[in-house]
Formats: sequence, C-alpha cells, structure tokens
Amino acid sequence: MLHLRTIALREIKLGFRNPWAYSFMVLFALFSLALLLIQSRASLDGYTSTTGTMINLILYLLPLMTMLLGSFSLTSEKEEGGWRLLSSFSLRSSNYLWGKYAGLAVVLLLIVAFGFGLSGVIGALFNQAFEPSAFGQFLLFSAVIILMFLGIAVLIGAVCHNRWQALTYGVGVWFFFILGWPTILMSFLGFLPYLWIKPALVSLIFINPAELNRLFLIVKMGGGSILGPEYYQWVEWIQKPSGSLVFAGICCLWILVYVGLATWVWERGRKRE
Amino acid sequence: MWIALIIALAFLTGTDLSRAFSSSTEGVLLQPLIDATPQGETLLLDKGQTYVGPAIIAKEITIRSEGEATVTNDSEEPVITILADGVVLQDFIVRNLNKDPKKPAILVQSDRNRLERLRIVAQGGGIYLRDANDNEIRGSRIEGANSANRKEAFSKRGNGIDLHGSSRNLIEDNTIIHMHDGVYVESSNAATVRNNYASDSRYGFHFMFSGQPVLEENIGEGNVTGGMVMGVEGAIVHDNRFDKQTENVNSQGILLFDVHRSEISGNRVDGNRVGLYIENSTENILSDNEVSRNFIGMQMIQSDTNSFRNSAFVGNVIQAQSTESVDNELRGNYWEDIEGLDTNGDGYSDMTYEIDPFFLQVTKDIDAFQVFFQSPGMPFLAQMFQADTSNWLKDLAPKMEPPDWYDIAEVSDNRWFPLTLGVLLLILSITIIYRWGYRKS
Repeated sequence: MLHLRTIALREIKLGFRNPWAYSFMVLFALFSLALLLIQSRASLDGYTSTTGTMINLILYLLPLMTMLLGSFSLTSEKEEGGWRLLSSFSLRSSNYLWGKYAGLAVVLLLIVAFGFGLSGVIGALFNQAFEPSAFGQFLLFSAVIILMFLGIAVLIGAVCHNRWQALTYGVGVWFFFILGWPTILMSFLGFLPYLWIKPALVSLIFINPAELNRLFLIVKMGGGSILGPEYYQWVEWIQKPSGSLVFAGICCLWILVYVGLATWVWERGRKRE
Repeated sequence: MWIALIIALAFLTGTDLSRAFSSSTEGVLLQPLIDATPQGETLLLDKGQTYVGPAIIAKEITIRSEGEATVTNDSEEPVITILADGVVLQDFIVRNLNKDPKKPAILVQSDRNRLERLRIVAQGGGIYLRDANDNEIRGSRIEGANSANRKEAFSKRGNGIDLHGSSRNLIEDNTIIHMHDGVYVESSNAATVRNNYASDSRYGFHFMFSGQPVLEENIGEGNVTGGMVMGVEGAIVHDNRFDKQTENVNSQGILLFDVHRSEISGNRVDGNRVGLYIENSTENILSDNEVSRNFIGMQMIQSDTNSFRNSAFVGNVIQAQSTESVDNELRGNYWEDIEGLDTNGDGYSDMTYEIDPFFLQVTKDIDAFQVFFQSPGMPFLAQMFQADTSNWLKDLAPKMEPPDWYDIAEVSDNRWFPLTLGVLLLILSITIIYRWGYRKS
C-alpha cells in the first residue's frame, strides 16, 4: 500500500512537469468556455442543443487526452529506464500499475476540474452559466469518462514498447470508440438477422465506455425517450436510483478488468526480461 | 375506521357491498328533486350536502349550488344525463364512483346546454357529448380519481371532455388532469377549444375526423402528446403552448397526421421529445411558431406542399428532420445554428439552411439504431453520405436574427452556485498542482 502511494505521488509530480498536461488543460478550458459563451442562455438546462454539444465536446477531447497522457506515462518509463530502476526494488507490478493509475487519475481529474472551474467562473460572470444540475452532471460524466478510459490507457501502456506505438494505438482506439463507432456498428450489424440487432447492439455498448456513459447521462438528463421504444425498459431501469448503483458497479468492474489485464501483460514482460 | 366497520358489517349481514356504500354516503336522492322542479326554474343544491344520482334531466332547468354540494353515484349510469335542451349546471362537485373508463360522469345528449364551474372527479370519463350541438363547457375542473399515481395505465382512464357527432360546441377555460385524453373530439364539426389546461394525460387535446376545429390558447404539459390533430381539414391551431411532453417514447408537442389546409400559428412547443411532428399532411401553413429546447424540433414524414414561415427553432438538440417529403416551402424561419450570409442587408441569409434526413433514414428500418442519436460519430458518418442535397428540405431564405415576437425564455438567475463551484474547483486544482506537482520537496 505504501508503494502504491509513493508511486501515485511520484506520478502526480511527473504529470504536472509534463507540458502535455498543460496543453490539454488549456485546450479543454478554452473549448468549454467558448462553447458556453456562444450558446443562447435559454438552453443550459436539460437535454438541449447546448448540453448535447457539450457532451460531444467532452467525448471528443477527454478520451483522447486520457489515453495519450496515460499510455505515454507508462511507455516513457520503459523508454527512459524509470521502470528498470524501480523494478530493482521489491515492487509488485500490480502496486506499480495501480499507483500509476491513481496518480494519473488525479492529474487528469485536476485538468478537468481546472477547465470546468475556469469556464464556470467566467460563464457565471457573463451570465452564461450552466444550471447547477447540468454542471454537476457534466463534472461527474467527465470524471467517469476519464476513469474508464484510463483503464484502456494503462493497458495500451503495458502492451506498447514506446510512445510512438502508444500514440498509434491510442488514436486507433479513440477512432474506433468515438468517431467510427456508429459507422462500424451499423455496417456490421446490418448483416445480422433483425431480431439479433438490438441484443448485439446493447452488449456492444457495454464495451464502449463513451457510448455507455453518454446514454446514461442522456437518460439521467431526462432524454431517454429519444432512444425510442426499443430501449424503453432500459431507460426506465436506468432512471431508478438502483440504475445508478449498477452503473457505478459496471464502471468499477470495467476499470478492474482493464488494469488487471494490464498487470498481467506487464508481469509477463517482466518475467521475460 | 368507519369504512372498515361498515365493510365488516356488510359482510356479516350479507348485504351487497355496493349498497352498503351508497347508504353510507347518506345522500339525498337527486332525481325526485329534479322531478319536483318546474320547467324553467332553478334547483338550488345545499352547501356541504351530498346528493345521489343517477339522475336524468328531461326538462329545461338550472341546477346549481352556492358552495360545495356534491353529486355522487356508483351505478352503471352516468351521474347526470341531460336529455332536454337549454339545461344549465353550475358550481357543484360531481364524483363518479363507477370504475368503468367508458362511462362518463355527465352525459349530454341535447343542445344549447351550459355546464359551468363544475368539479368532476372520476375514474371514468368526465363530460361526454353525444349528438349534442351548441353546448358550452366552461371553467370546470376534471380530474382522474387516481391522479396521485402518474403511472396508472391510460386504458383505465376515461376522457376528460369527449365529443362525438356534436357540432359547434365551445370548450373554454377548463382544467383537465390525469385523464385518457384531455379533450377528445371525434366526428364533430366546428368545435372551439380555447384556453384550457391539460396535463398528465395521453393526449392533451385530440381531434379526429372533425371539420374546422379551432384549438387556441390552450396549454398542455407532461402529456404523452400535447395536441394531436388527425384526419382533419381546415383546422386552426394557434397560440397554444405545449411544454415538456418527454416521458413517453412517442411524445410530441403537436402531432399532425393526415391534416390538410390547416393553419398552425403562434404556438410554442418547448422541451418536448419532438416539438412538431407532421405526417401525411399537405397544404398546411405553419407560421410564427416557437420550437425550442426539444430533443427534435420538427419531424416531417411523407408530407408535401406545406409552408413554413417566420418560426423560430432554438435550442433543439436536432432542429429538424424530414424524409419522403417534397415541395414544402420554408422561408424566413430562424434557425439558431444557422451559418448565414446576408449580403444585401435585408435580414435574410442568401445561403439556404439545409435539413439532413440521414438519421431519420437510418433509423426508419431499424429502430434499434435510434441509440446512435447524437452519437459523436454520427456527423462523421452523415457527412460521408452528403453527396446530393438537392432533395433535402431547405429554408430558402432563413432569418439572420430571431423574429420580433421571440423572447428568450426565463432562466433562473442562479449565478452564485456555478460561480462558487467554479472558484472552488479552480482553487482546488491550482493548490494541488502547486503542492504536489510544482513544488520541489
């Protein structure tokens, strides 16, 4: 536990000496602020054009940021020999990776906190602030996106040998989960018999944290009916408080599985050396 | 406690349960009082007194109470049936205990009656007009018996005000809550429905196969659909407000199906699942409507030769969708997300506003794909299919600024919460970055 804490604190320090962290911070703050200022005042509550665009901005930016910063942090340790030094101590791979995960999570959450803080303050000064409920929902939504994609990032970091490889994998995963997702799913699901499409689609949503989170947020914002009659029961179920609990459980499981996989890969690499 | 005792007694003595209830209300039978009232006279009901129906009014009289008289009934018949013309009912409570959703509390089968300031509580229907013309229903309140249970099945409820084969009736200033349809008008010509409020019902206001109905200045909130007009020619729908019809997967603000040569103007549809839904409808004029903050502003399917003018589309997640519709003319509407260019300064853009039918086409065959609504990858996919936009719905001269009548909806001036939270987040992040990240220690 002490090791984990040491690694996490070291990660935070390393994270904020990394200029990438600040460039993402500036990017996120600027975009969310710009978005807030150009929108009409009328639609800052509930599921509207403004909140819909905000969801998409978060989904474009945060997963990419998380996967790049996260996987770079791990691969650079391999490239620059940091891990070689640490592995000469009696440090368990799981402690190391969970320490990395925790430290990176703090760094990324602080970046988002800064971005929302800045746009919240300036937005409020210009009387363009989100309604309290929407503001809280966005914060939580961003945090969950980061925590889940950080799981993928750690796995990418464990698999890749250097930063270039990590960049390729990270952008590839981002394209698959964010940009290409509807295209790929629609083209492949189109081949399935009609009755299989919905079950296949629903189970696939559970492997894409971006879609899972987005749909959860839309339902919680009261927009569930837009998903149509096919998802009526899902929406009803998510709207209940128990739906939030199960959702939180799924998120935790997701993170455990990914960091667990990363540990397994990392451990294998360690034994080969 | 008393009810439990009475039920127990009823069982012990073997009497019929429903009879035990009717005797427990200790009401005065209404029918003999009506029979004793001469034609043209007024029957005054006592304040606080309960009267028991069913009663049939077969002569021109007035029944009213000064205060809170209640007329109740647990029989199969309506509480009050009006057979004579020119009857006036005013200022009393009608409570129908019959659970059959098809049975009304008040049944009108004659002409020129006035029903004013009644309060009706019923599991079944409220006021039903059958072959009844020139009646006026005003200032009344009709509420479903189980209004606390918002999830109660619509099939267990009756309609608030229900017209069939009845012409030239006026329905004004009524409040209707938790019914099947708030106001249902079928095969009834020239009905005027004005300044009513309907909520928590299936359709707030529902017109079927009726000529020239007028629906104006009504409010619908939290219904499945606010105003539904179907199979109608020459309807006038104006100055209504339909807000927050979102809970059902079929929710709409205004639904027009098979509607022709009608005028839909000055309405506000705000915060609905779909603001305006138009299907199989032609030659309608839609103008000066405010379509705001809906998930989908307007959806149009298989509708031709309609005209859309001077409306405002603001804050909708998707402004509009249209498919299989041709020859519709859109001109001078305001679209919040317009990328306009006004070279001659006349206030209208020289570039058209184009409405992409892609999502509607994708989801038409496979409902399950609805889950991709506003998915961040959708614009990417839609763009790949944007080769030919010639058959898209287009606003030919979109307005650069919102119309004069449009004013931004009231927003709570809650600046302190985001300001405080923002400052806290800033202080927190900067402190931690400085202490754990920057400072060398």
